[in-house]
Formats: sequence, C-alpha cells, structure tokens
Amino acid sequence: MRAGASIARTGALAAGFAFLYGPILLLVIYSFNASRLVTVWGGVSTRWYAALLQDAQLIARVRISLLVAMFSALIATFNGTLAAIALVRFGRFRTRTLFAGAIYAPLVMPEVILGLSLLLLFVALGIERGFWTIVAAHATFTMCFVTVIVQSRLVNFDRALEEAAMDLGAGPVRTFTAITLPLIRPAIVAGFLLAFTLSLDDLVIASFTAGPGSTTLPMRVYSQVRLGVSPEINAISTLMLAVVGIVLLSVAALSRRRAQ
Amino acid sequence: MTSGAPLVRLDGVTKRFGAVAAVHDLSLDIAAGEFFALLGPSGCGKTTLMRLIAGFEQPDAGRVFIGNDDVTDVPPHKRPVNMMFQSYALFPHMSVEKNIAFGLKQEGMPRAEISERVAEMLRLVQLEGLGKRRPDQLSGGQKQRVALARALAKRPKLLLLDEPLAALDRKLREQTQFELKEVQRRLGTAFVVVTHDQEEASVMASRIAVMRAGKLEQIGTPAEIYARPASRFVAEFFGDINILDGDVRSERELLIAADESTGRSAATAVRPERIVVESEAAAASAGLPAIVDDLAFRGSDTLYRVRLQSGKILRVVASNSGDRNAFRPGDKVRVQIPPDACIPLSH
Amino acid sequence: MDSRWTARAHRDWLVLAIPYGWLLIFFLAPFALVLKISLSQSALRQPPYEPVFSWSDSFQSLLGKLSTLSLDSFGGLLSDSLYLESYISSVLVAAVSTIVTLLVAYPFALAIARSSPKIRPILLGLAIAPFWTSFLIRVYAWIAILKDEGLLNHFLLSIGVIDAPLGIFATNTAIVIGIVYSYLPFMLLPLYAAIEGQDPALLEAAADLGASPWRAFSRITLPLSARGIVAGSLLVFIPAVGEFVIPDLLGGSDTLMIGRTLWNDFFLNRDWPTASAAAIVLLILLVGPLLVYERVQLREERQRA
Repeated sequence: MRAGASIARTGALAAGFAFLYGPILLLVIYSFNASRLVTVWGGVSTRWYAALLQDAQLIARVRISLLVAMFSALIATFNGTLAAIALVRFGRFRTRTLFAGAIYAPLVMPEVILGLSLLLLFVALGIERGFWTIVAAHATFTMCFVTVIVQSRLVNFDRALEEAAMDLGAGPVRTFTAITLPLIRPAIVAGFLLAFTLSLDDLVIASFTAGPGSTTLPMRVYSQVRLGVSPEINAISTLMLAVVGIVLLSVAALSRRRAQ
Repeated sequence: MTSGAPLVRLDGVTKRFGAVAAVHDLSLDIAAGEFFALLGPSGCGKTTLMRLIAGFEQPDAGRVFIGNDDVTDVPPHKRPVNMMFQSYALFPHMSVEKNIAFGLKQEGMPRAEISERVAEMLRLVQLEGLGKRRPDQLSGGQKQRVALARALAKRPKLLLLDEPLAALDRKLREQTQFELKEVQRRLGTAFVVVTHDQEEASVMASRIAVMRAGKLEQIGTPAEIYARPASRFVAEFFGDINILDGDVRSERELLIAADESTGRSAATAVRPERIVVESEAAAASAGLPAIVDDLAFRGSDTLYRVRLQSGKILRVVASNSGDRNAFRPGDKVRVQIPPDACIPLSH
Repeated sequence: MDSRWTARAHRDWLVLAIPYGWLLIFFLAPFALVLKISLSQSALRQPPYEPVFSWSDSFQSLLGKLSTLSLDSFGGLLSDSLYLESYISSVLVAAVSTIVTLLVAYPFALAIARSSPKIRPILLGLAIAPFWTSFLIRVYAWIAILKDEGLLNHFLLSIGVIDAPLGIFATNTAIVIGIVYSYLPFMLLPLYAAIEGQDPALLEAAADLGASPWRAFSRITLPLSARGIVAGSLLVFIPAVGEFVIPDLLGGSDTLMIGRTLWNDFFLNRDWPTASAAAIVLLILLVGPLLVYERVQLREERQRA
C-alpha cells in the first residue's frame, strides 16, 4: 500500500508540474523557431530576438513598465506596511471596517471595475492620464497584497521583544526601527517584490489609466496578441520569463544563505 | 530589615481588564537590595503587578513610586527598572554582545565603556567567549543567562524576573536558584521574582507576598508563612497541609487532645510532618485510631494517607531515617498532634 | 498622563492617516463616483470621442445633469439581454472553472503535502513560480496550443487520434482551461496549508482503528481541509467572474463574460452610465458570497473562544 501511495503521489506531482510548465516550455521552445508558423518547425534561430532588440518602441515600453513598477511598488509597500501596522496594532477604531474593506477589496474586485473607477476619477478631476496616473493606480491595487503579507508577519510577531527593548530604554520609535522593522523586513521585501511583479504584469488597469505617451509592455503585447500568434511575442515572453526566473532564483539563493 | 524609604511602593493600585480587576486596591513596599517574591496561582494578578511596576500597564487607580519618584505616568523606557522575560525575548537578529549592549546604547554610553560593561556581564553569568554567538545558537540555559546579563547591564535598582525557572529542567532549576541568589547578593540589586512555584520562592526570596484574585493574602518570610499561614488558601498553597474541621467530632477530638483552645476554631491547619503516627502496639492507646490507606515512598521520606474512623484522610509525612519500620497499607495505627503544631485559621 | 498620550496619539494617527488618505482618494472616491454615475439619467448617453479633453467635456455635462437620480441605467441592464446573459454566463463559467481547478489542485496539493518535509518547500516554490511570470504570457501560451492550427490539434491529428481540429479555441471550454491554468496557485496555496496543517497522527489513528487509506482520506483528510477548499474556491471564483483577459484572448464572439462586456461598453460603445451600473451590479453579486464567508468565519471564531 505504501508503494502504491508513493507512485500515486509521484504521478500527481508529475501531472501537476507538466500542466503548469508545459505551456511555458512550449512558449520558450517556439521562440527559437525559425519558421513563423506554430505548426512548422523551421530549425533553431534567434532572429526574433534580434528583431526585438532593434525595436526601439518596444524597448521604450519596457522602460516605462519597469519605472511604473518601481515607483508604484515603493508607494504600495510604504502604504501597505503602514496599513498593516494600523490593522494589527490599533485594535478597534471607528470606521475600521471601512478601512479594512478598502484595503482588501482590490483582492477580489475585478480589475475592470478598479480601472473604470480610477479613470472616472481622473477625468472628474481633470487630470490628464499619463505616467503618474498608472503609478497611482498600480500603487492602489497592489497595496493590499503588501498589507496581507506584512500583516501575517506582524500578527506572529513576539511583542515581548518590543517590550524588552522598551524596558531597556528604547523609546517607541527607536524600538520600531531597531527591533520591529529589521525583523519584519523579509515580509516587507516580499511585499515589494509582489507589488512590483503585479504592476509589471498588469494589463487591464493600465489600459484604463494610461495616457497616450505611456503605454506599458503588457498593453503592447496585448494589442499584438489580438492580431494573432507570432514568434516575436514568444521571444518577448521568454525574455520576461528569464528575468523573472533569475530574480526568483537569486531570492531563493539569498534566503538559503541567510538561513545558514 | 528595611531601612529608610522603600525602593518600590505601590499605593492602592487597581488594574482592570474589562470587568475583571486583575489587581485590586493593592499596597505593597519593596525595600532596596532585597530578594522579594510575588507568589500565587495563575490568574492571581502577580504578572499584572509586575507589569505595573515595569510600566507596561497603567493602573486604573492608585500610584506607583520608585525611589522617591511617582512613576505612575512614566513610560517603561524611562523607568529605572529592568525585566528578565519568561520567554527571554532575546533579539534574534543581534549577537549576544549586541543584546547585552542594547540598553547601554540607549543611554548613550561611549563605546569603550559599553564593551567593558558587556565583558563584565558575560563574566558575571559565566558566558565568556560566547559573545559573538546568536540566540539561535544557544542552549536554553545559556539564553537565560544572556537575558539576565542584558537586564543587569544597566545596573538597575530593581530587576523583575518573570517565572525565571519555568522552562528549566529540575537539575538546572536548582542550580540556577542558587546562582540567582549569588548574583543578587553580589550586586545588591533588588530582585522581584514572579512565580507560581512555592518552593522556588522559598529558596530564593527573603520575603514573599502571596497573592490571590488580585489581592494580597500574606506577606512575610518563607518560614513565617510556612509556620503561620494567615488563611486557608495560603496554608493550602504554601506547602502540603491538612485542614481539620472543628465541627466534625473525630477531628475535634484529635484537636482537643492536642490543645483545648484550638478545638473551638472553625478550621485548623496541621503540617503533615508534624503529625505523629505510631503502630497500634507502640502507641499504647494514646491518640486516635486510624488505618494506613496508601503510601508514597519519596526517597528521604514517605507520605502516608491515613484514614480516621470518620473517613477523613490525613496526609502524614515520616522521614525514612531507618530507625523504625515503615508502615504498610492496612496497618492499624494511632495518630496524635502535638499542641504547637495546630495553626488556627480565621478564614 | 496627557503628554504621553498625545505624543503617541499623534504618531498613531499619522500611521493610520497616510494609507487611509490614499485609499480615500484613489479607491473610495472613485467608487462613490461609479455609484453616482450609475444612478444618472439615461438621457446622457452621448458617446464621448477619443481625444482626452472630450472625455472631461461629456463628464462635466454628466455631472451637471446629476440633479435627479434615476435608476434608468439599472433598468436598462435588466431589459438588455446582453448584460443578463453575460452575468449568467460569467457565473456559470466561473463556477465550472472553480470546480475544475479544485479537482486539479487537490491531488497536487495532497502530493506536495505528503512529500518529505525537506523537499516540500521546494515543490511548493516550483508550483507557485509560474504565478510570478506574466499572466498575459501564460494565457497567450494557451492560444498557441488550443488554436485550430495550434499545437494540440497538430499533435492529435498527426498521431491519428482525431480527424478534424477539436475546435476548443474561442469557446467556453478554452476559457475554463485558461482560468484553471492561471488561478491554480490561488487554489493550491490554501489547500496545501489546510492539508499540511493536519496532524499526521490523525491518519495513523485512523489506520490503527481499521480504516483503509481511502476511508481515512475521505473521512478525515477531506473534511478537515474544508476551510482550505472554501478559501481557495472563493479566491478563484470571485475574480474569475469578472475576468477580462482570458475571455478576450481565448474566447470567441459568442462567449459572453461580464468583464469583457463591461470593457466593450466602456471603450467601444462609450456608454458610461450603463457600464457603471453593470459594474455596481457585478460588485453586489460578488460581495454576497464574501459577506456570507465573513459571517461564517466570525461565527466559527466566536464558537472557538
């Protein structure tokens, strides 16, 4: 019986991973396809990558996406961490439910609604849509992810450590910066990375809140995808996958080393 | 004894959590340099009291004084009191040295002085050479020493110890009890231990405050409390005890045989080691008849459960000094109480 | 007492005010705006045109005529079969997707949770890693696979299993596959947490009392993981109802999902009041299950206390 369970387990794992990684692998493989058609293998070629590098517009989009992600993630991490502190440490306060609701709603609200509402806001206030409107929009919808991560770390935080610090003479602010912050830093960093990734990846909200000169990479990819499958998109995708893969591997390696 | 003004004074302090008063109108003095214990079952308010002294709780009524200063409104980081936490609360991201130095850094002490003081502390708790280690690389006993060193580094006037021996195994516990006494004696700092273990309190402290449901039941030296418990609760909590009810005839007989006057009180306490048990033969009809119900051999002594004719069970402790034969379950015996073993209880 | 209290109060206030302020401006206000517009008169259905300034032109006139609230837009929704069908279709597709995701994720979560503790975090990390890559890319990958001229059909045709393309692409089936693929981590994580958190001694006790492995699973492991199932299902179902990208890329002209309908109404038809009303209705639809979930959770916690 034991052996049977083990086989079943391995089978489930194999099937699961095949399902998850299969499409991604196919994507990568066909980005090296010399032929344009998916069904015809024309030999290995990097011509699509070469074409990408010469596409100045594309590179501009990448730059914009990275900058938007950086700024919005910073804002989201800042706001999200403060919100987590408020939720965990402040106990009950008036309109707490509203506050919590506003923080967690983006987790479950469809992005079209979020995008729509923000667009209406910008138009109502007469704000021209552009780079900073996307930043604000992304910062808003990714904030809750940061809050969730930081909050779960804070809830498990040993208050005795803070009391010990205060007992030894550190005031509340000192206690926070010397004791609390260093110990929740991994959660804050994780929150930042998550917000960064979500922003980089977002299509819907960006579409609603972007201005004419600030198209993001997903928007560009989307408009191209509507026209059909093409190896150039495969190439872009593979590059994006490679970047994310490197980041993930280095994060894993870093946390491995720290654990030792 | 205490000379001059007390180091810590609590004046009519009350602290409520919701509808429950964890501490109720409590007044207490602690002298400088003494080893004091707050003893009581869980929920009695001893931890709350400790936190009131440290500043982590604010009283709903009453004042707290340390030295001559009213510190009731002073936050914990400004009080000259330090605490050794039950969970040790060592900062996991700092080395042992940095942990100990933390309080000194907050004072703004120059770096050279800090290193000197840290080295001194490490010597005090016998952890020289472990300064660079991190908390997760230490054993339980070592962590405790670091916690102690860290709390003493600032040379506070008062050190609060929250159940310091709870996490240690028996052998280590005894050793640590004496080490704490030694450290306290050497430094002359006032130590206040919070514990639920009566033996711990008796070994270490020179004065004990027994608490129950937010109030003080009795304050005194361990010997005083043991010999003269002020209430039934203290008698039962502090050491093993028999409570005899003066209204029950057989018990009254036993008591009256011991001492005419105590026979009248509602309840009388007798320590198990004071009750005299002899075999039917040796007793020669002195004392009350009884049967040995059960026994527990404890090494240096034996605890007997002896049943009177009324059905009441007395706990009797007899040392195994070897000059008499031990009793066995079913043996017929006679019990007697010497007069000075009776402790009348008012409540 | 006072000085200590006010310093702390100021600090706390600031910690709360900054995120709260941000949310007020960028979430609560827009939300209120959507609500307001959905209640405006239907006569304001003038399609604004492309340049940015005309968006605000029509908006100003919109606001100007907001003196009377009207439920016209909502009424319009009910009578417009397009929206009604979109809602129903979205809920159905999301429900089917949720169930399929559960069926796919459960064995997977079980297998990871039962693996040796050392490789468990690695397996979990590998399972979650695709989530970090672009959502868009992963959906796009399925286009290449599911198209009539795509990899799946090509493969099946070449080995002779089928004679004609399966025609999965541009149907609800393709959308379900897309949702399952994209939302798998959302189901996997709560399931894994619920299964892994169970005391292994429970299964040993069951075996000791004579239960077969299947019995032990269905009577002990499965029921105890109920919380994870519910959490995962909500995390998949609710966003799936309002999905836009997946239906747009993998669906066809006859697959109706509310996210897409909303988008089209907004960008193509420029019909703001209707789109806003539809958004509000969608939200109400989604908030319902959430409130029920919250209520159940609170009750459970109260019972436990």
